Amino acid sequence: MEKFKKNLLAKMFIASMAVVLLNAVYWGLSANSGYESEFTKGFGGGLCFAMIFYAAFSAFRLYMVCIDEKKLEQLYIRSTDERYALIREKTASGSFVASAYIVCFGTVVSSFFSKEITIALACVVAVMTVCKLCFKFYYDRKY
Amino acid sequence: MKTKIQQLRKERKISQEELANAVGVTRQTITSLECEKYTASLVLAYKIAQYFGMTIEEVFDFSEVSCND
Repeated sequence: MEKFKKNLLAKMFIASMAVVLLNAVYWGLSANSGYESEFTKGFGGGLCFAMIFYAAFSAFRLYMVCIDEKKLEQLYIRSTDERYALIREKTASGSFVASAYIVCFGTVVSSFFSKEITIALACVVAVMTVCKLCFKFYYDRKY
Repeated sequence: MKTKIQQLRKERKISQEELANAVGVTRQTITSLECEKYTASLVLAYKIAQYFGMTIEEVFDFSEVSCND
């Protein structure tokens, strides 16, 4: 359980760093380059703030879990549950999350330079998310 | 894989939640095992059998299990 708690604290640290990094990238690029168009301004900004909010919420949720033993135990059971582990493996959950973060980050950065790339990357994120949800639903029903 | 988990649970008046907590899995996993949707690992099968004070063979029916399961 101690190792699991340390793992959660590491995730909380990464989420907090993500908040700082996203803010730095967004405000840094806003000040130095400006947007390609009004469309990408709203799109990139919205996506960036959604990511910041999600990362901040994740960090807060992990903190709440770390200080509450009962919640920590529940999360530990859910994380080590073999059926969930199998579903996560089948849906390639880990690689999806990493890819989604990278593509979202790319979308935010590209919104300062190119409307076409922003739209293309946003579509990639949307398709990835829909596929992931479909696979998750399928394997949830199967097992 | 066929199991006697539901039958044993009802005989002993144990809820899915209690069994799940005792063996360290979620309630949904116990439901899937009872519905024969999911095949338990050896470790989980051992824990469940131990919880009921029985052997693995007494709780789980391996006669219809193939290597692909």
